[in-house]
Amino acid sequence: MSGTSDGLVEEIRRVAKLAMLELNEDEIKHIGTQFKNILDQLQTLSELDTKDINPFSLEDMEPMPWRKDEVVAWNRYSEVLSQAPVSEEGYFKVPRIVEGDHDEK
Amino acid sequence: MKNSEFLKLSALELVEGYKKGDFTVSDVIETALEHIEVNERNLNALITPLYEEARSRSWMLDAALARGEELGSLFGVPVVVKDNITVDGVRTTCGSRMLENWISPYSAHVVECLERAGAVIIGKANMDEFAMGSSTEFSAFGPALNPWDLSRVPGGSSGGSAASVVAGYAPIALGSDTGGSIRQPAAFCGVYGLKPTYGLVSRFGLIAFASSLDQIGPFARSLKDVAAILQVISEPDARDATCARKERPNYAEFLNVTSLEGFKVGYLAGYESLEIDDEIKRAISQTIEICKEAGAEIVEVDLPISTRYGLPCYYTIAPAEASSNLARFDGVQYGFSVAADDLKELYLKSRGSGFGPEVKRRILIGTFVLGSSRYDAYYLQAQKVRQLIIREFNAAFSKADVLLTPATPTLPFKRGEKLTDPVKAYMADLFTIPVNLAGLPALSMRASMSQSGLPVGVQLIGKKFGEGDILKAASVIEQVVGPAATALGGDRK
Repeated sequence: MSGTSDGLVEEIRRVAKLAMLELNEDEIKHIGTQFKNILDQLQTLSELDTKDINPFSLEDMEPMPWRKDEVVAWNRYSEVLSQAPVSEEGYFKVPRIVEGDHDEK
Repeated sequence: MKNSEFLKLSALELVEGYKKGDFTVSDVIETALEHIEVNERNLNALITPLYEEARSRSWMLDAALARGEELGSLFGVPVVVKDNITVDGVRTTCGSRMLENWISPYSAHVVECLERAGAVIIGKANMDEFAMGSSTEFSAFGPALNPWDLSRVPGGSSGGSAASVVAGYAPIALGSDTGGSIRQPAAFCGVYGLKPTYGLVSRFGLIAFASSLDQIGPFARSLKDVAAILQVISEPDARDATCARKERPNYAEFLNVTSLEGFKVGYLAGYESLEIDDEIKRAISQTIEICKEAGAEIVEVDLPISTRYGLPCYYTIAPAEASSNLARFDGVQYGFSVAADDLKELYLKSRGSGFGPEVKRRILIGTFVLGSSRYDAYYLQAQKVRQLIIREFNAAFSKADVLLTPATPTLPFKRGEKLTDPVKAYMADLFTIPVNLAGLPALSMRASMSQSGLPVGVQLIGKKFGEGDILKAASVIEQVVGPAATALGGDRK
C-alpha cells in the first residue's frame, strides 16, 4: 500500500467499488486514517515464520457428516416475494441489464 | 411470593414453581413484560419486544399445564433471543437498517428447540450491527446500556442479550459469538456466557457473519441454567453441515462436584505483567486459589502467539468471510433498497445507505485482504497463523484440562469511549478471539465485583467438546462466589 494519503484514498475508492459500497467523500476521508492503522496491525502477521504450514489443514476438524439430498416441500413463496423491493408475476424485478428491444413476445 | 420476585428466579426455579402450582406462566410472563416496558425506556436492550406473542403463548402453556400435559425442560421460561437469530413471523433486523423491516419466514434450529422445550420468547435483543462491535453502540436502533451503570456499555455484540439477563427481563438468553460477542458482554454485565465448541450448536437460522468462527450460545445467571439451555439447543441438526452428530453428554451431571482432585487448571504465564485492569488480575489470582483449595493441580501455560497475533489474525479472517457473507444484501430480494435505473447503481446505493460505519469498514478490509495481489500476504498468512494458534492450544491442553484467563482486559468502559479508534476498540476481544480461531468452547463468568460496583469477569477455556470440564471447574467457583446477581433498576446507579 502506498504511504501517501492520496494513494490510500484511491485504494479505498477501488476497494469500495469492488465491494459494491457507495461511500461519500466524508466517509472515505474518515475510513482512510483508520484503514491505515488497521492494515498496519494486520501486517504484523508477517513477523511469524509459517513455512511448511498447511493453511487449510483439517486434521483438527470433526469430519462433516453426509446427509441425503431430499426435496422438502415449502410453500411460503408469496411471503418471501412480498418482501422483495420490487417483484412482478412471481419474480424479483431488477433494472434491465441487457440492451436492446426484448418486449416482443 | 411478590410478583417482582419472579424476575430473580432462575429458569429451573420457574419450572419447579409451575409444577408445584406456586404461580402460573401468565403470572410470570405478565410480570416480565411490565418490567420490560418500564426498563426499556432506559436500557434499550431489546429491538423488538414480543408483548402479544409472549402473552398468548403463556395462556396456551397454562392451558397445557391445567390439562396435566408433560412439561418440557424449559416450560414457561421467558427467553430473550439475539436479533440475528430468526423467529418465524417476527422481524430479524441484525441491528441494521438493511433488515429493519424483514420478517423471517422460518425459525432458527435453536428457536425450534427452545419452543419444543416450552420456552416463551419475549423479545429480540439489541446488538451491534451484524454482530460487528464490542459495545452495542453500532446498533442502528441506538445503543443498549449496562444495567449496573447506565453511563457504561453492556459490551457487545450480544450486549442486549446480556443486559436483558442481568436486568431480570428473562433468566436466560441466546447470543452469538464470532470473536467474543457472548463472553465479553457476559463479563461486562456479570452473568454467565458460554461459547460452545465450533460444531456443537446448529447455526441454521443464524444470519452469518464469519462462518468458520460463528457459534450460538446461552446467557444465564446460574450454571444449572447454562447446562439446561445448552442441553436443549445443542440437539444435532443436519441443516448446518458443521453441526456434529455425536451424542451430547448430560451437562447437568458435571455440576455435581465439590472437588477438583485430579483435575488440572492452567493459567496464563505472566498475566500479572499484562496491560489489564488490576481488579481483573486480582480476580484471576483469587480464582486460581479457589481451584487450588478444591484440590486442582495448577499449571502455568504459555500462549504467546495467540496473545500477540490473535487479533490481527482474526481481523483478517473475520472481515474476509464477512465481505463474502454480506454480499447477499444487495437490495434485490429483501431488505433495504434504493431504487435506481441501473442494476449496479442499485447495488452501490442500497449497500452504501443500508450498512452502518463498522460494517462498511469490515467489508472494505475483507475485500482488501482477499484481493488477488494481497491474498498471499494477508489472507493466506492469517490462515497459517490460525494453524499456529490451534497448535499452541493443543500444547496447552496436553498440560491442563481447562485454561483460566481474563475475559476482557478492562472493566465495562464508558459509552462513546472507544467509538473513534477501531484498533483500540478491537482490544476488548484480546482474550476471547483466539478461542474462536481454535474452535474451542469457553465460558465467561463473574468472579467478583469491583470497588466501583462493576462486575469482574474471568474466562474458562476447554478442549474441543470439553463443555463438561468447563462446567465442572465453574461449578466449584460458583459454590464460592455465588451465582450471578440481578440489577433490576432500583439497585442501579
